[in-house]
Amino acid sequence: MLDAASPHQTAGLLDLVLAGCVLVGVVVSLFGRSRRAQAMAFLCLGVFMTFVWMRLGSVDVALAEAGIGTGLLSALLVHVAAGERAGRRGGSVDDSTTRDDRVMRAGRDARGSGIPRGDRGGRGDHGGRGDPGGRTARAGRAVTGLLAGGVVAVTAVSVWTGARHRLPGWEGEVGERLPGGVSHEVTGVLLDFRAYDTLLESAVLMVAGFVVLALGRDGAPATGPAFGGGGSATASWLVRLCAPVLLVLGAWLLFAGSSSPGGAFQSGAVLAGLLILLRIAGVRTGRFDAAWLRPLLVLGVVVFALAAALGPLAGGAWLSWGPGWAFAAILTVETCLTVGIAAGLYLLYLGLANPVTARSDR
Amino acid sequence: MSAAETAMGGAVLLPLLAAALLALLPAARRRAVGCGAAVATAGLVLLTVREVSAGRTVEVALGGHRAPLGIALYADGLSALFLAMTAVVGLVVCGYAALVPASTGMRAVAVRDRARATAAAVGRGNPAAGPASRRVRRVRIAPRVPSVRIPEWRGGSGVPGESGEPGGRVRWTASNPGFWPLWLACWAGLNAVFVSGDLFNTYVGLELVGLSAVGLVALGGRGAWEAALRYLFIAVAGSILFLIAAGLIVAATGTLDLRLAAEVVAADQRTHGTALLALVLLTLGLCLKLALMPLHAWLVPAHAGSPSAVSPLMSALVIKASLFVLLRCWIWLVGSGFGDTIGPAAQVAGTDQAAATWLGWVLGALGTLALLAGGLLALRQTRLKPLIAYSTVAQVGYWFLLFPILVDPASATLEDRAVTTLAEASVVPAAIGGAVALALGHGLAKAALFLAAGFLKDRYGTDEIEALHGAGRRHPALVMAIGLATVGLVGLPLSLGFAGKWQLATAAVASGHYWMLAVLVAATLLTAAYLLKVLAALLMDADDSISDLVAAPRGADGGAGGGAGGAADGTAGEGANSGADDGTDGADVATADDAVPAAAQLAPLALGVLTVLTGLAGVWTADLLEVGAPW
Amino acid sequence: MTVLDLYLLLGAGIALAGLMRLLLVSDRFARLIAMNVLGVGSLALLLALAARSAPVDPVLSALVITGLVITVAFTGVGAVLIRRIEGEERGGEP
Repeated sequence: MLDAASPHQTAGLLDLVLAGCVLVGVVVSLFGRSRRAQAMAFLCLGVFMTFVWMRLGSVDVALAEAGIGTGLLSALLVHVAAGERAGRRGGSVDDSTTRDDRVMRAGRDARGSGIPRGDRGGRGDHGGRGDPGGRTARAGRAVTGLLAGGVVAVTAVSVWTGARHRLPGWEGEVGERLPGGVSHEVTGVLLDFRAYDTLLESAVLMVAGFVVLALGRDGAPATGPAFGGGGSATASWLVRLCAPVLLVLGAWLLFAGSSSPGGAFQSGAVLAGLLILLRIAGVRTGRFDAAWLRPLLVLGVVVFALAAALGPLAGGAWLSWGPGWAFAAILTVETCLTVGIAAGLYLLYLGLANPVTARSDR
Repeated sequence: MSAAETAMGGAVLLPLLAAALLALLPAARRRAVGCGAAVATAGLVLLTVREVSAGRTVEVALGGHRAPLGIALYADGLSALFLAMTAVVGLVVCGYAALVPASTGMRAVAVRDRARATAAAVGRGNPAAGPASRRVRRVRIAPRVPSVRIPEWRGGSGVPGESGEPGGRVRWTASNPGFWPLWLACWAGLNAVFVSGDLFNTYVGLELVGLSAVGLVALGGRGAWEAALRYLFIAVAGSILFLIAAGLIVAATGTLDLRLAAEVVAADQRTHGTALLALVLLTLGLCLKLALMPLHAWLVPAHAGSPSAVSPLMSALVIKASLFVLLRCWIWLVGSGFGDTIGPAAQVAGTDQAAATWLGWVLGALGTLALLAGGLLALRQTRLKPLIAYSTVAQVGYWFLLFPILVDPASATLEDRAVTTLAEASVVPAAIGGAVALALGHGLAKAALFLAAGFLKDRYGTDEIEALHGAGRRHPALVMAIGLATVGLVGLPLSLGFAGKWQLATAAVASGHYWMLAVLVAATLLTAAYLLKVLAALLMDADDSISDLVAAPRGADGGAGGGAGGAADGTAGEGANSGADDGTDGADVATADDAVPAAAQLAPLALGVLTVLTGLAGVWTADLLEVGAPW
Repeated sequence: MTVLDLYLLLGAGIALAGLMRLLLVSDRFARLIAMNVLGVGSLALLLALAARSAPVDPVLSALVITGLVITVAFTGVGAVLIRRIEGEERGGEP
């Protein structure tokens, strides 16, 4: 049903329905009344976007979206959204109410623990926004924003529909120049032609892990029990049952990436999801986290950077894979990347626990 | 690959590898390895710069794949200048951070056993830590900084002394070893942006810089988290706008490579509309990241709230990455194709490329606004670090004065008057050279200022100007550093700032934009005003003898290292702190003197001296800019 | 209109909505979501461009995957910061 569309066929009912669903998802996630609504709507938006990617013909991107873009991202967002205190007014985006809320709460807390008077105003003041209050200011900003947005949109559309589209200059080259052993083009691009981008991008994920570590306690994220407790016994049992399946799936995605859709990112996402599910099911991962997380986080970038240096040693440019050992290099790098990505995504999830109060389960 | 080509790639890969490895090392060893990696990276940058200054651009086709399929690294004069500045400032700041670990930020340390710790503290005669006291721990930094909105730390659930609450305790102590991997990753990202020859690569490099910068800002402790979050949103918004622009360029020209795309734009008239839209989008995105007024609100809390070693990096280096990309796109990518509108041969456009002219004028107007309003806002500040941050907001305006000249280099109504010695074809290059020289000078001087301010803040616990009266007497080297930095920022002769302003002013006159002279003069006066205000406060004692300047008492919880005595170089303290999990709180009353050694003043002083010395290199800078230039 | 135009417009619209919301709203979480919507919109633009060639262009697909992962990294850091800030605001309660 969701075949890839030929780009120049007329948009049919399927496309219009899909576009409609996406728009609804966008509207609800942007304008939802509570954080939970927004997070859920974003999750649904991600699912619809997966269909859109399939419709546009790219299974790799659809897999990546389902795994990382929707799956893991929504795990993080739902965690944050669900972490609202029950008494809080659902995280509404209305400025004045949340600010008053916080001032009142800060006042209560302040009285309760004896913070001297001077701090109370300060505490209520630095709420989650940076703008001075006032309905007029807000209305003014909204109008300006809408106007500016409208202008940009009109310009963009007019230029776009009139623009002469030129097909990319690398058309056809990709298939011809794939390294031996790799027959899937996207993998070839990610790990051979544009490997430098992939290296820097893994570094970005690694840096995200670094930030979480730096913000944690004793340079590590707090490894307390998952939010909400250990989870029900049924969920726990189910997760433990599925864990080996997920592991095999992750490994398969990795190795299948060289000849069919799949690859390091999708595989890493599945493995990270596996780790998160294990935590939610109450499995004690504390010691594993403490000992292994940091080395695994940096493994991808280290191996990739060292492999990049193999090129100059063999006399070529940086990041060149010699003809004989290209596939071995690519596979090694990809495996380590998978591990690094899984560790990085898992670490982001761990970082959501508050290091102040979470207890260590080492 | 030649040595320079290897060095160019190595300048990105080495700091990245070092950052990854640093994360595995224990905190105590990170300083040494970090500094070693910094020196090595600077060496690689030196090799690249030397090659470029010999007149040759350095290019590498990564993986042996030529564009458009592969990625090319490309270093020309502009890259070399920014690479060099990053290396110099980065090295000095690494040295400062190694000498003064407290400047790298705050970290949370677990307190395992509260009762035992409290007893120990009481035993050591710390009156504030008795179990009966409700105000147990005071925030370690700045006991009296009213505008830092950190409430007094209560620990856990806010009621001390209760057992059975769900968590352990943390206390906040200075010195965060997470600084080193984050900074080296940031440096790798900066180098990646400066040597990148591919649009998408530039995007990824900008994101690497952005994320590590957000992390660095967040090291500043609880007061800085809000600012870091805001910076995160701005950074992503700007980068995604750039990504959309790159997508438009691919749609129109069929390639992501910078030079190939420029060729297509130059050759094919029909791509101009899309290229222009891409230019508008990426300008908007990069101006967000550059904090051009009125989009500047995020910068001051972020730069002022960062730790002492991070603020110089943010103001001097991270901002320059966005400036570099902006220059690249305007002059290299689009400029060669829009010969009628941008560049030496531009006339006032009556074609559909008028949008580019409009955009250039808008940027110039906003730059003027930034210079004047930013300067005025800086004058009104009462605290040192926000003042310097507003100064950055103001100085950004200088670089945007380039754009009216770029789009309109011959708006003179006095056409035949030979008011300058600039030939017609060199008006635009002079303007570009001026803007770049101003940016480089700003980097050096601003880093010196922020390091000096950080030193004072770490030493005395406050950066209120009123409270720092007379500090200059005890730290003559520091005052010297601030004075030299003032010379650089104000643009007095023999500094890169002066060379830049001179070139810009000459170009402005030669192209008939006389209003720019007035703006430059006004901005210079404002800069002098707020910087001299700082110097005057530091040099003159307070009017009343009550507010004597005392070293920050650091509270009962000990100094930067937390270990006994707080050794001058902090190594012992570092080791003790990271190793000891139990009650080293309530320890040592290490005074700020030990935590912030006087030798640390060498760092801002070195940068100040360099600000002035590089003024001698004005000609070399202009020559270097010619390498690989499209004019 | 063709499929290509539809998704191009969709992507542009989503990106614009996300950007406007990001710049205008004040609640942290809403900004985080808006940031992600902006990212999704920009990726939709890129992939629609990739779909001009049949089969879908591998280079642009790879770029979309890269952009996806980077956005997730930023969102993760943003989520962690939001948790910390709100943990602080509540006086350290979970």
